[in-house]
Amino acid sequence: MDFGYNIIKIKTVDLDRIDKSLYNRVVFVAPDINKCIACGSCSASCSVSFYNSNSSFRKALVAIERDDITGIKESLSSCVLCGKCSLVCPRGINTRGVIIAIKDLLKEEAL
Amino acid sequence: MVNDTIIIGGGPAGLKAASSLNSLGHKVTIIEKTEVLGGQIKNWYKLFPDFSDSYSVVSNLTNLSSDISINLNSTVLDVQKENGHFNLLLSNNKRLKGKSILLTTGFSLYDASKKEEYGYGFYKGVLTNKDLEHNFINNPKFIDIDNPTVVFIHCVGSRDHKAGNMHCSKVCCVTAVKQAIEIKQFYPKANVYCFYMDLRMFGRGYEDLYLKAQSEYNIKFIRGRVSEISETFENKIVVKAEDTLSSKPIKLTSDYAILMSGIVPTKENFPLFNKLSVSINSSDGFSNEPSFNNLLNLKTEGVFTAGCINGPKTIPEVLTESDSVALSIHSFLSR
Ligand code: SF4
Ligand code: SF4
Ligand code: SF4
Repeated sequence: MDFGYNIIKIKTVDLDRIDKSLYNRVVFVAPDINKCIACGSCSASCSVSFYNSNSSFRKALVAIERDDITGIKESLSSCVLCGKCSLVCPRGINTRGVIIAIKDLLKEEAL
Repeated sequence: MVNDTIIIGGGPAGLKAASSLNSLGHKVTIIEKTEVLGGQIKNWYKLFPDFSDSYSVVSNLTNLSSDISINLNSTVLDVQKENGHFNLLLSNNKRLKGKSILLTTGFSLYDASKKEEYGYGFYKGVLTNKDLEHNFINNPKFIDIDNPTVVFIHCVGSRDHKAGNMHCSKVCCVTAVKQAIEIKQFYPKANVYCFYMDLRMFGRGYEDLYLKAQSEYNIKFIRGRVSEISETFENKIVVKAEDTLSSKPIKLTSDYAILMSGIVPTKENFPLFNKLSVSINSSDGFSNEPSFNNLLNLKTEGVFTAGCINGPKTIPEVLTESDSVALSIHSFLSR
């Protein structure tokens, strides 16, 4: 039925209501993600970001903390697991390993 | 009798210079406006980056030789230069004579109530960095729940043209990280956030402290300047900003918001500086614009400055500058 208006999803990140369960599960397997300083080296070096600017491990980490599943999928969907990002991270985060762990967790979620 | 140096300001800068000059054999007098020596670090619980006891640093600095005379509760009402000597009139009507003057009058903390959008003075849960230190000293368990949410707000009154302060106060980023860790130490179940624009972890050991805050204490750093603070009916503090890393507005309800009030010049001292022809920088209001080839860059012969009068500094930087100025005074006196 058309009431003449739409309901718009609120875009504000409301930290009071965020579901932290996915973040907690990722941190459990990859505690190193807390060390990220959001420098963007991973995204800049990414083999795929040249073709898909959404491909970004940095954005994926923010999306996990903000419980933004669409954001995580967008930023990791075209990852080819080449591991270039792991070579440049100044905080020594095993980014490729974290990506695999996140993909596994998301697969479990979907089941 | 004529003093070699009259030091105006009994904080770390003045105290350090006093003992250095004294050990070089000079007759020194300190003028301090409050009833105790020590300056602003007396109000601090522990110091970054290694959590040194502020108290022990102060007692070390105030452990002065009895050769140094001290005037507490005194301010300078007037100063005249006559035959190469400075004649001072103090607020208690005492007169002092000196061959040189060292200004170590320090800084003021930015008055956070001027940033009305943060509600300091209106909302009980909004404190400043100094208030928090006061609580750490007097009653660290001032929060009556064991899992409070505490938000640290960087750059309050600093890097803010509208607040009249273009400059970065330099020490508040690391202070926020230090205080955030202390909150986690007193309340291990607390949720702690820092809202920052840049994290200026310039000093030795600061970056390590930041890493520790992230990995050991799970303190969350959100990049974005807080735009406004409001209060709920339950006296909770609502903080709003942009999460600039995800380009979305962000909001958070907390028990306490701690404002990182910046270091600003003490305007009440400007008339005294004018009398002594000490330059005041038109952009930041601090004294002494050093150049690479002229670190002291002083206008009046026999007048020196050291410490946060010349801009924001860490305690080790203040102590080093005081020692270096003591050496300059020594060569001035030995001419
Ligand atoms: S592992 Fe994935 S995210 Fe990392 S550089 Fe390769 S493609 Fe990009
Ligand atoms: S390179 Fe490392 S520190 Fe930098 S954004 Fe990527 S994960 Fe974070
Ligand atoms: S030190 Fe940090 S909090 Fe303080 S003014 Fe500079 S950037 Fe802002």
